[in-house]
Amino acid sequence: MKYQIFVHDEEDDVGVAVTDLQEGNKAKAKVLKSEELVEKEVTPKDEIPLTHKIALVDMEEGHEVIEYGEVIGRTSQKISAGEHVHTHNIQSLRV
Amino acid sequence: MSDQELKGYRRENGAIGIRNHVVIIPVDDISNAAVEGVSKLIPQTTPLPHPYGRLQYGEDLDLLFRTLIGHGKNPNVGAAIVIGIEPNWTEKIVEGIAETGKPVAGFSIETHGDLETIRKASKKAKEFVQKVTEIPREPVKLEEMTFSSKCGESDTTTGLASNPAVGAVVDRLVEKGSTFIIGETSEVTGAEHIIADQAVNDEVKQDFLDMFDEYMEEIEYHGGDIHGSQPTQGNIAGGLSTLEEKGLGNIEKAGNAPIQSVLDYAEGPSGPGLHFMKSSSAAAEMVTLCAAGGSAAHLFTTGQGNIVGHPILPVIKTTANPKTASEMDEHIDVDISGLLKQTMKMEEAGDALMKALKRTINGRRTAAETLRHKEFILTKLFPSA
Repeated sequence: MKYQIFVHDEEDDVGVAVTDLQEGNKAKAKVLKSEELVEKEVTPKDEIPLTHKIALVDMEEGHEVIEYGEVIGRTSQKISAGEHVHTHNIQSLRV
Repeated sequence: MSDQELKGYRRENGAIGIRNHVVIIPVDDISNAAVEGVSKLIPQTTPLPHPYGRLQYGEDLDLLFRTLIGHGKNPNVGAAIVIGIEPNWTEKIVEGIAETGKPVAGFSIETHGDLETIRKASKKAKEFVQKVTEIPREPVKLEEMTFSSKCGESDTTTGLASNPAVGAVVDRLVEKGSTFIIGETSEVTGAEHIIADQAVNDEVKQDFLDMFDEYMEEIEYHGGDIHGSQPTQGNIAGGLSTLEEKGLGNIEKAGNAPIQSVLDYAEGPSGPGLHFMKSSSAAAEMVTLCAAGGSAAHLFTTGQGNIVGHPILPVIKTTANPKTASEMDEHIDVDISGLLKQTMKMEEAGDALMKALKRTINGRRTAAETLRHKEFILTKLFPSA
């Protein structure tokens, strides 16, 4: 597969694994909603299963996480690029 | 396949159906036995048993009537029989369905008993089955039809791939002049501002925002925390972390057409275009409300593998999750996991969905229909008196 990660929007902090990602194996990401081809690269720091999210950038605790170009929640701890992003480190703002 | 090749049932009021059911509708819980009795004697009928219909009042009773009448009026129904314990509510439902001009008859059980009611209703059901089986399929157009959509057991593949594919189909259908119902009020949370901006004018925008706020306030009033059930365990297993992320993925299937109106639960749209129905996000409840609103076919995206169906509304299921597409393939009508595997383009996925929709219109049974998924689930607003 050409890309292992899909990213909705160019400004997104996270991407979605479209195959199981192995720790340490550099993965290539494609941005879906951009006029021109935008590619990114990130090296997973965790095993990230198909459909789960990976951090594309470093985020401080309390950072508002962007996906779809919109806020999907806030980090509950510091997250660095390549880490698995899920309920253990981000939470809804609607709590 | 061009539109000219589509064939459906043109009902007395001009509505277009794709199935030809004779439904047997109980007004209330205690009439289910008689309804089942009729359906056993005349097996080509479609019984719609349900657990409610006694001592309901106010808005909740209005919704019961709207839902039951809506199912009788649905264009996938050729004729309807209504059975209730008392004559007055039975007659009210019969009159509602009769507005369409289709054959309908009501029977009440009090003073007769189940067996006499079953005898009379079965005789009428036999007559109706013979009558509707003579209705021919005629050439129909997509723009004459009403459709709906919903997602269930969503994961990140829904927002990435299957919902945008359905959104593209919604845009194509609405552009042709079709009527399309979307909804799932609580599941647009985090994206409600985007849906609001999709409204055709400020009035509809305000209607939507008022409805959304009221719905969410009610959830808070009844127990506060939606987060125990939204996202669901299945959603979380599929990588969805927050309600906002789920909502933003959900609305990808709304497409880009302007929202013409905000519909009450089970209310039918008054004109073509895209409409947002106030509705639960629970799959069977939402699909049932769409059927009551007059939908003839339902596009359903799933990530982790929701298997819902409905007695009269064919549910066409699609997934972009490669794991679900292979592990639960008997439930999937349109496999678009090629979007994730990067062997399929978005436009091809849209074409595949359109093709499946047209084949379903022309009579091909969906996976849910063949697997006997007949979830008929009434939305109840508050306890009965």
